[in-house]
Amino acid sequence: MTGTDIHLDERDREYLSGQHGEGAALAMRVLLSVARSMGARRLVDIESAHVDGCIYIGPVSIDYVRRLVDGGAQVSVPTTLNVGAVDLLHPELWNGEQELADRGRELMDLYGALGCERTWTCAPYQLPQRPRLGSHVAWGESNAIVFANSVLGARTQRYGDFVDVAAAIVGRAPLAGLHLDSGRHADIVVDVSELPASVHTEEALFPLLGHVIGELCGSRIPAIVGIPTATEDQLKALGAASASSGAVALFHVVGVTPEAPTLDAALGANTSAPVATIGLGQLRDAFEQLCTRKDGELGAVCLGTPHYSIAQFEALRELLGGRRVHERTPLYINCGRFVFGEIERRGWLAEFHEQGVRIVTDTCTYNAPILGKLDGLVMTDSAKWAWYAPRNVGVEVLFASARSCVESAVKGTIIHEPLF
Amino acid sequence: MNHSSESVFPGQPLLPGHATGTTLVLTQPLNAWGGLDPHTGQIVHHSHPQKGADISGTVLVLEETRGSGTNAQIFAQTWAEGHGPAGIILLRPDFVLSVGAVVSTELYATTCPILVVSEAIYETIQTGMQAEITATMESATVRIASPSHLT
Repeated sequence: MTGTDIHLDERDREYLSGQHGEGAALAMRVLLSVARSMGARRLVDIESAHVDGCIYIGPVSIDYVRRLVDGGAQVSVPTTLNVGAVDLLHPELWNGEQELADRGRELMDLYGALGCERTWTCAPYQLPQRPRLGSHVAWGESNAIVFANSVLGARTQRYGDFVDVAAAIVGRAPLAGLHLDSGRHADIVVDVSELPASVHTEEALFPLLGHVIGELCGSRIPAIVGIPTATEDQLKALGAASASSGAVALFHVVGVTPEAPTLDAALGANTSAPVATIGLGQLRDAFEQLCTRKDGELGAVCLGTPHYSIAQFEALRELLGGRRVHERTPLYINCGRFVFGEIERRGWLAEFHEQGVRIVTDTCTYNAPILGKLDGLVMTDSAKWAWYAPRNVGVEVLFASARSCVESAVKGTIIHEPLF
Repeated sequence: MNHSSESVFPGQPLLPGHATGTTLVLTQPLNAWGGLDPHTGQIVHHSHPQKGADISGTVLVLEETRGSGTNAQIFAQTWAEGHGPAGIILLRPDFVLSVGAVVSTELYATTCPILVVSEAIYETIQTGMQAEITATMESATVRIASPSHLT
């Protein structure tokens, strides 16, 4: 592949011709195939990358990264890594085949050998260095992509396996789609202003609304009207849900997110975008879709998808109120190493251990064999977890608020307050 | 071949190469992660209309893939195990598929030309036709032979 139809600068041509090694040349060929599919005419410098694909799928997962490593490739911009298959800090949590754990570790090691930071988190936006408004980045992992675009106002396409790391190595991305001003305007208005005010104080609004928006919008860009304020964790939950049930890579919340001070600003030239109104009925339907079962025994409670933030751990301490988790119904929380280190520094980790909270780092309970065989369903406050876990790890799921989840884990039985 | 007709259609090349095979039209986009078994080439997703179909060696005709970026790895693994399609005809450019094919080409020396055709052309293609894709970086065509009553 020569990329003859894409304008390459001198450095791009150096990469392509192998002057920076065979690994980097492979990365450039992969990136140019993407640029071609996107109709990009040239590439743009990126400031950082977040690499997904650290989960072992099959031999190809390892073959590709090994080819890059053996070819002398190194990332050329600061690059964080998404979750892997194995919790390297708590290997005793692994409940699956040894062979799979070994391949998972091997893959994680290879990504590290490329010079990536071993962050192992799906929430790289919780790290101190965050992309700034308007900066070009190449991020993988659907929830991280939608957060970077929507909440931070950084610019990334929905990069996925093979591509994010290729971009990290050559420090470039195809100038197309969400990298362009014209590609970031909303093309559908989602009006939630008819929801009763009481709903806005319910945490579960955000994952449920995200689920509805994903189904409604697919890969379109919604401008959401009628949410007066939202925390980063609430926007995280909304984005993760919309990128699971749909393929949302950017949403605007008018008056809240940085590129949407007004509806006009969010829409740009798309002044005749269709308007969809969302009411309680759709939120209730979303709840039904996110539950495979609603009663019976409780087996476990899983929080932290995407990875838990400091603020969420702070709220968890209040919800627990010093009580212990019931021994029959373990409470799992996924978080990144950075946040894990911070809760340890604050002395909260010791408290959580005493209370029987099981903290998982580096991976996630929805895609790694951690839960083991359960005698009941799993409660979660994450629409993303509820969406993926039944088919990834074969469990029954009940979606609930974080408050109900924690209460249930403490009592050892399902305590489910009606949501709306 | 008395009862067949042959047409040559233009397309936009995404990946160069030459391929012949029997068309397999997917009537819904495919989420390969959990939807395609790389060890057999079979579509396994419970709700996909072509569940049970084998994509190995076909000229696969689909609008686009759906869902996870992990689809690129699944497709690459499918080619690696000899169960990938010989060529692909799309309705919309799909970089996830292109990347899967490029990586497989690089690692395992497989080839799979990919081209995008217009909706009018896309709609004339049905499962079971003989197709020949010829694609360079600059241009691509697909030659389709079909029983005359289908044209």
